[in-house]
Amino acid sequence: MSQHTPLSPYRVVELSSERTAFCGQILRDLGAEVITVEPTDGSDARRFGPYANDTPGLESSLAWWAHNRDKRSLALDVGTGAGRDILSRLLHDADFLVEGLDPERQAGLGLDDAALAARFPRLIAASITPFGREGPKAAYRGGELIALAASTLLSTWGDNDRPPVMMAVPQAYAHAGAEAAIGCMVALNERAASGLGQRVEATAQTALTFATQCTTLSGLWGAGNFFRWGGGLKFGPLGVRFIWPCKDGYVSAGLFFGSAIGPPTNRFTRLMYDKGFCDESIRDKDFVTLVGPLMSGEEPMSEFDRCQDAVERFCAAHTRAEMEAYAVEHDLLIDAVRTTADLLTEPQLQERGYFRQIDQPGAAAPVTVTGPFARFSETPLEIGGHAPSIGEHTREVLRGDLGLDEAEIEDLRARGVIGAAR
Amino acid sequence: MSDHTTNATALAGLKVLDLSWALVAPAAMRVLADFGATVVKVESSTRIDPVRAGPPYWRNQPGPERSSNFINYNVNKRMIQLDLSQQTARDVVLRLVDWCDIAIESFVPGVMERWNLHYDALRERKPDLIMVSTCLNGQTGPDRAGGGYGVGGAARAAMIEVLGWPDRDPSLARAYTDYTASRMVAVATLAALDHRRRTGQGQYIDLSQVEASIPFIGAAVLDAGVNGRVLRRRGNRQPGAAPHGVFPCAGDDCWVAIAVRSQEEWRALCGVAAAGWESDPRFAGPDDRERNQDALEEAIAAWTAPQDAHALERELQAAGVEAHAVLDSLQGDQDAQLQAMRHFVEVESSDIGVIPVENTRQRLSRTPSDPRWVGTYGEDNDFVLRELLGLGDDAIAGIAASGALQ
Repeated sequence: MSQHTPLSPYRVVELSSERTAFCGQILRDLGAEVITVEPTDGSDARRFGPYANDTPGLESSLAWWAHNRDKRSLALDVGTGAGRDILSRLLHDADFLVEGLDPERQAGLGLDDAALAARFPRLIAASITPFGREGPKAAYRGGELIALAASTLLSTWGDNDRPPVMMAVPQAYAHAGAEAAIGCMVALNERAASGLGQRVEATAQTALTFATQCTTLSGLWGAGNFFRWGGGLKFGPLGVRFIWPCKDGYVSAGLFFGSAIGPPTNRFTRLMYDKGFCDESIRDKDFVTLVGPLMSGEEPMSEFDRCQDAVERFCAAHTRAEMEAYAVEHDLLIDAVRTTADLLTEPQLQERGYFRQIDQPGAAAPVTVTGPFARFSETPLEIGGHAPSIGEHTREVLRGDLGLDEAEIEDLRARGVIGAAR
Repeated sequence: MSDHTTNATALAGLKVLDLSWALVAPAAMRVLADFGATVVKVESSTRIDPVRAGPPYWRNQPGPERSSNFINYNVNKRMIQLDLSQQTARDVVLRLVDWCDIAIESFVPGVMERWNLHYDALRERKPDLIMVSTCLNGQTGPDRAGGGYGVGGAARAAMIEVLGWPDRDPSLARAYTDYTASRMVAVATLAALDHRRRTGQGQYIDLSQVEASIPFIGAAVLDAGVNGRVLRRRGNRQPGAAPHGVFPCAGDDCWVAIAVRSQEEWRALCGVAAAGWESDPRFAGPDDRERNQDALEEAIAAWTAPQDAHALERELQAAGVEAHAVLDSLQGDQDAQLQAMRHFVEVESSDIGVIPVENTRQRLSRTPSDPRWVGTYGEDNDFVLRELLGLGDDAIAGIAASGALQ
């Protein structure tokens, strides 16, 4: 890896799981070297679809491909004494450990906080769990849906006449992993002063509360409840809708209030009037000041409903492209709802060279992966390598990094401590 | 004025000029402030930060000083009011640039250039400055201009399209890219800081909130490219797991989430339910259950409907089944686990008094975060000008007289 990426001097050891992949990928994208340690039969992160060519398999998981790019894979049974010994040696030279172990397992592997502080005082060790390593739910099992439910986020997603609903792509451990990565960066900057590492803990439950935009505070604040409301959200008497069907899909468009984003709403109602979609009284409302009278009842809520009905009619009569053209022409906050396929041909992303092509073993042709999450002027991120096969770098790590000889490696292989790969 | 001291040490000494507004960058800089950085937040009452209008409101009363969306993202910051349309205010910003390590802004691209506060101008003054600009689409490209917000970001990042029911219009993911991008802003900023410490080199970071968010659905992007599949909404079902859903419980709008992936978990669920499912051939193996998911969900819903969601959660988890009551917005603070993780903490506001906010979401064992206060409009004007910038009475009086401090 280049010396000119932000974290190029650093090494990460990741004990691979669904929980760790995203955090490890962030650190890798920033230029740290990442050794992802998998069980000899493959990480559980490989057991999530979708799969290339819809053929399930440990080497065809697109979830794996997406969040393990350019990591090195060591297939190692850390349940064995010899496996733990190899892990220890790796940790001696590592700056970060990223793991998603349940508390009992963590202690069993000698990776609890006290043991780490004693044995690897400079190590920054991230723990990513559903609920945390202490507290009444520390032993709870929790994947995507469970963490969403516990975060209060899920209750705000969906239609009011159906159960709350989740996103079709798992989010919990991306959020938790990103929080852990932030913690790792705080600890890294702190280590420069103290010379010491520490434990960094993130949980899926607390991470997902961030996506409630503070509604998790409603009870403590004496505020009202928030209700899922299809393409909108309902708070007290006010139901604000943002997502609307249009001629060829959906658009996001809203009636915003206040001095900063009320003016675009006023331009929007003016446009709707000019095109014959609303009356003068809607056109003449001032959204800079409207929210107070609406919440107090001075302005009847039925007037706001009428405004939203006009938006619905207006959107239904236009295509996504027409709506975005209006947005540009009149400086409105309107965006077309893209599909995942749309992203691949999005002019804005193409112009910025966002997506990258990589050669991924198991794929017939180069595959398109997400590019740099930020553009650094002096240390640009390098997005290149493929997601490893199980144990692809086992020999390389054991020989090159730990200095084991062929006989030792063969012995480990014979005892099942390391995987069968190269 | 409330006491503005924190015991956090991790980032003590770090100086941040926070020119940003709304959610993404302010929330990211709050993390730095919670860990001890001195963050000077610049805002103007002439153009009120839109999050100051965002609910929930303290005691359910709207008001610019009562919005959780502002308070919760601006803890531990020093608040100065500056009307950046005025040259005198921009001169103060330049002094703050000299003072700071990191400057961050989230205006529409072009605004900082118009004020001559863009990176190329600022690095002339301060070559090792780290400057972060974040906006919806990035600083370049055909869509750079124009305002943006997180709902539009979620639309642009294909995140709206994949939330909801297959037979219904998409649901609102709120301002979703705000939440995803905010984390990447914090990570990128701190990585650049470490690089500067080692090399002395500052730099500019252009973070497009859409680009920073797309990795959160990275597998679906690969699915589109590799398999040609356009991912749509699919309710609560997840391939490879059945049941995987949200089921009704006793009470108004009460639900429990249940997820079963392994056969072992299925047997555990059957054991708790004692409804004879284990001998039903439609539900025998994972493939059977996925094939007969309508019938499976109907059977489970009939079983959960009369039960208490929280009791069911405990019973299922004790048996080894992934389950949790769906907590609504008023139940978060009642959750024993969020309490145990100290997710809610109290900070002090000189306006409101003691007020609960969410804690920073990184627990560091040795140098933890320490959120303490939230400032009000311009509360630290004098502190910033006098203590941080070292200006004297006359200079401060001159700035105030110019009308820049609003």
